Amino acid sequence: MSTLSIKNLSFSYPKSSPQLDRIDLSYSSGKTAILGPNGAGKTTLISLLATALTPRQGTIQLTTDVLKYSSKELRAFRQQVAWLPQDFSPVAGLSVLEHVTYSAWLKGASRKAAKAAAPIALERVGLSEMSKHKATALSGGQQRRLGIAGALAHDAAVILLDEPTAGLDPNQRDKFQKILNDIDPQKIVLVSTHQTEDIDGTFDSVFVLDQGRQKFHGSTADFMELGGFTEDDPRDRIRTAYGQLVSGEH
Amino acid sequence: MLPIANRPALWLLPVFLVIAFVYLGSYTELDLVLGNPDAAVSGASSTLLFSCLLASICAAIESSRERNSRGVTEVTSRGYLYRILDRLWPSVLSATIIQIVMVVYLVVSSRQTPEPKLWLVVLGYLLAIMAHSAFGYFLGQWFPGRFAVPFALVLSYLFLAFTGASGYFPAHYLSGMTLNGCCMAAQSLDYRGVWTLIVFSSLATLGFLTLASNNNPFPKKKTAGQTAPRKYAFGASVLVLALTAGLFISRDFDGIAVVNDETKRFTCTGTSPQVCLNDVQRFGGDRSELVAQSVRELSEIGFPKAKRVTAELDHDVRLAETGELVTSFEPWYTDEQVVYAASSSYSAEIINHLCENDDFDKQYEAFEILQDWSTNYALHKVLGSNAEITDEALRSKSFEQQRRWALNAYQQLSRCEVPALPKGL
Repeated sequence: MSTLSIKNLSFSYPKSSPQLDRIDLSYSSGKTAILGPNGAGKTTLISLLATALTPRQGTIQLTTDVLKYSSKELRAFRQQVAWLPQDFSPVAGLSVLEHVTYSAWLKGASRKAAKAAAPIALERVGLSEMSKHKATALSGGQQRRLGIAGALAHDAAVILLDEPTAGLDPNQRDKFQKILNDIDPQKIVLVSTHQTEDIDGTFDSVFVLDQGRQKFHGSTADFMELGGFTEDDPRDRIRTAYGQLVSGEH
Repeated sequence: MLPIANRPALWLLPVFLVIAFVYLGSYTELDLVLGNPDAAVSGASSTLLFSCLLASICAAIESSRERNSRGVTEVTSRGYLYRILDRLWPSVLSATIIQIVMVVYLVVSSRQTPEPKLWLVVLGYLLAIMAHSAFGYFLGQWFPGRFAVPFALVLSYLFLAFTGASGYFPAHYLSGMTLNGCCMAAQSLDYRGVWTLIVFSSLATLGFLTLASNNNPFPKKKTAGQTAPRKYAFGASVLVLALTAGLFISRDFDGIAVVNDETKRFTCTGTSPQVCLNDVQRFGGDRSELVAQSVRELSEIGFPKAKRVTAELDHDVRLAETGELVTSFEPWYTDEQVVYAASSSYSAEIINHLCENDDFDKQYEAFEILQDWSTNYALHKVLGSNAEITDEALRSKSFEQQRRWALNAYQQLSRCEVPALPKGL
């Protein structure tokens, strides 16, 4: 089992205020919702973990290896990490099946392994029937499922999903929820989201960010406790807890 | 890893191959490469215009596909070289196929086996193709596809077409296209021209790929990654080095990268006069007797006797001093052209040493009439040709008067004097 730890992680773009300020967290398995208002630093955190950005300060550690950002280390780290950015966009000129195969290969899978894993991953995200369609011709929701298929195909230990359900209709969101629930519980899954409704029952833990600062890091149950009495509607409790955290009441 | 089916190089290859063939068929005289593998292999450089354009355009399309994607290629576990190799091999291969087909076509037309060293020229072509692929890839990474592809087309074309048109000769050899000026039968390719292409293209490939590897300064999204100023500096420095090294190697060049060939063995035959031709000139048959007869006909009517006629170019000799005449000879010459070239050797020597003075125009007019008369005479005597002398005044005179005027003009021009023109006699 892998462990993902970040310590004292900070990031800022040149000549601007910090996007993230001294973040600490550690996960060895399970699904975590990263909550926070717009501009809280959710995308920055996910991008740092995906190594699309390099931190100004702090460390990222996967199991025992602290990432030092040499080419060799980056390649080894990226092999363990799958990333679905908020604005995922497939590579033109590829079919859906070819795209998943290519994604897996880019993440270090051998040609043979990538070809074998791609149809299974497509099955898991419900895109098998569209395997011969052009990847760029898929709808927005389908393209995100395609991105997840790419992540699943190379069997990453850490899966990073940035606002995967933003802008999706309820039907697509339900499909995505099901895919998320089916992901191996031994994997570390971090999902940034605005939507607090689906947290209970899907996520094991919650991480709340506001203005680049860590406001909460704990289990979903602990998070919900912040929201009031257990007999209340869980959704109300989550909304209450979230509202209190991002407005600075806790 | 990327499937071949939807790669632009696959469907653009046949189009460019046909265009290259049509171009070669329209603008290249296959006779010029007969027996001359140097000219054949170098001649294929003219189709770099198409192979390099193909490489550049396809690479730009491929690169744009990568740039327009998000979340797929940014954080890969595959090394950069691995990834661009997977991206660019069809572009490089298609362009190489075009170039190799053209080389083979011209070499077969030359009916001679190229010497092993000529593989350097093919290596130069391959590296030029790689440089244009790297350039297209760089454009595709830095600019959106709607700009990158037209840029690749226009900029590669401008580089290929206009380096050869520059008044600064060393720049001609950067693109490799001017190698097709090589070679007459008595010349060889100057390999410094090939080294210019090899060194410039290798370094340019490295420079463009380095710049392309850095996240571009006009990113689609700010979170696409961070740029490394050192990579910009390194990439730009390598490009400057490529240009400097290329121009340095070709610094002494004139318009064509050729050398007077001393390695091509000249064999001398006959005695009156002896005629020296090299292997390329003898390709397709020995016509040295035709040369000898042409010179003999003129010496029999009073022109100085030559001991030897050689077709070695830039052999700066004077008949009066060494007894040697220099002619030109190509294996594709017709008999008329052989006789014309041999019989004009006398007047050619004069034009090579024509004195510069105030009467230059008059001297030149006399030279033209002399050349016309002497070649007409030899063509008539050797091949029975009945072409008329162009100068009316000379034509109206008797043969003996014509002969005397020609000999007198030859001697006077040799002494830097200005002979009287036939119309003034």
